[in-house]
Amino acid sequence: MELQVSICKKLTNRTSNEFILDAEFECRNEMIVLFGPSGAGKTLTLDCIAGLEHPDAGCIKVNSTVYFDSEKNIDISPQKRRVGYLFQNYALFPHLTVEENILFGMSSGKDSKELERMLDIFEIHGLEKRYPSQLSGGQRQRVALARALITKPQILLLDEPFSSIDHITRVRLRRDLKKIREMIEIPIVLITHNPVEAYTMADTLVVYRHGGIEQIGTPKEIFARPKSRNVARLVGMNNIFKGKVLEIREDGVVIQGREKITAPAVQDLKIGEEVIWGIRPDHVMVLREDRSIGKAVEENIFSGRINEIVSKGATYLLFTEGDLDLEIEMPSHVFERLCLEQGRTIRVSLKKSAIHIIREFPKDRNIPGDLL
Amino acid sequence: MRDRPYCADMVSSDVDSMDYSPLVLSLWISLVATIIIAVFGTLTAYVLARKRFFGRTLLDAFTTLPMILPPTVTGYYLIILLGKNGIIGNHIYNLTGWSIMFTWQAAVVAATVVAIPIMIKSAKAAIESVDIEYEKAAFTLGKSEIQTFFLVTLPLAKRGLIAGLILSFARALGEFGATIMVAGNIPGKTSTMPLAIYSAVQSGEDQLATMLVILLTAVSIAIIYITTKISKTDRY
Repeated sequence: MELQVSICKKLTNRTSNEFILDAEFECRNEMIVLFGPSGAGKTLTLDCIAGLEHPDAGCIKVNSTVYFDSEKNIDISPQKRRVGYLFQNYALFPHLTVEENILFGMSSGKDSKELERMLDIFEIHGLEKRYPSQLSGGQRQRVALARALITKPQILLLDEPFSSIDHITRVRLRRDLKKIREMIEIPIVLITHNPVEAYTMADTLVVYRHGGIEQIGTPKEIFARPKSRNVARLVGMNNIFKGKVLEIREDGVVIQGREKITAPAVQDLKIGEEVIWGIRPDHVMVLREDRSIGKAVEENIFSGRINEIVSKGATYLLFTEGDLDLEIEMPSHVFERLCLEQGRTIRVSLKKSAIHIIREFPKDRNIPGDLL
Repeated sequence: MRDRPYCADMVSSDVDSMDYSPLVLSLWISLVATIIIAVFGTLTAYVLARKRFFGRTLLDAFTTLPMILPPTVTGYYLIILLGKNGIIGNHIYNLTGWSIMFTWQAAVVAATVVAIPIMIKSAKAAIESVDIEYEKAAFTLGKSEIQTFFLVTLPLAKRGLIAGLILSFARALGEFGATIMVAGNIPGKTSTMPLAIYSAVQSGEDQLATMLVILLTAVSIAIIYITTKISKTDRY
């Protein structure tokens, strides 16, 4: 593994609120995305990797170089770690020109060839003599990336690169990051709190909760099979219900909550066990009354009254009240074809394969209430 | 001289033979004090702004003290420290046979001690206003703390530092109480402008006093004018 992180750090502030970060993950030369609510300790993790913060205990290893090891008393200074760090506000030096900023980390002084290469990659030719205050947000970000990469870092850290930039810049950044990944083989750690960016960018997704890690896996895995209610909420699985296992069959389990539903079989489930189950809003199917129900969807049919309709542009959100209170997301063209309106009663089908059972253990560790 | 209205004397022949040594002395002493203040004031301010250590609040309070204390009190403490029998002064005297008391160097010490809190206060505020993220960025780009200080922190805090230096210089120029305690009022040696003005008024030389006051006012205005010009030349 090219990046190994296993750290523990306690922060105390004046209001006597104690914050403990306990994080452990590893990755290859790939994009690893730290995803979670703000205040979870994601930036603190990056600062520990960069050497700007010092963990109380643990170990950080990049490409067989030990950056930090509390047992062996190793703590390499940030200057010697060779980390490329893109700060959230880019931290471009306002008193230096673009060229001076990019060359800031070069010990050999002006290296015109490398500078040219960076200007090429990030398409920032012609800006060399400008000051950061004379650049657009996207240009600033690319200059900051050039400054971080020109020193040939061992690892690249990106703190919320997708926040506070417009849509076009975001598309461009996605392209630039792809280019960087093809160009250099180093681990890239990216922080985001946007589920869409997390899903599209990550090879490995690390879901943070307040002070620690909730789940690690591929984005596909985590979005379809969140391990806890917390993760489910973070990845947009907004329909979550409680129930008791009523029956275990060969092809699935029956869960009794407010209604009876059939879910895919899960190992080691016991009859009578309390479980949580959920379904993504985009996996709820609204049935057309003018057509007969297909075989695949004949299970888990419920009806409800549309309470609220929210247009998100490409998709619509429906909130229904009835057998189950559901959030439904559907493409606009489907919404328009179905001629739905507020107050109408509709029937929906929760496809068995789309239902996910969360077996949460009751020892909920200090999770703030608003996340539940 | 007293019985004539002194305004009439303003353009008399005395002016030509005026002794400029108080002005030269004042500028020299203030300049040396300001250079010392620039180095140690900035250093102390950086430590106070960026470092967390035991006794930090105490150091902060201690460096502010000369601003609060009456200058004569500060002067008295300086005598205790630097006098021939003083805590430090006695060692210097024993080693070299020289005492700093009643020399221009003593006036520099007095001006420095009285004016340095102003520099520390404004430099600390200026350094604190520099986003620490810039320094962190410089660290990850391989720059040591000293390099970062000179390449990043200092240029970004420049305005506040210059402002602090101007105010300190002005304070040093006007220093009276502590100076008279440790340096006396020896004409041509330690008699700076404020002391010379005081002496002139005391001895009834109103014409001289007026000239010195006008001179000091002119110098002060000139300093303010020049420094506002300088601080307007930022490119970014």
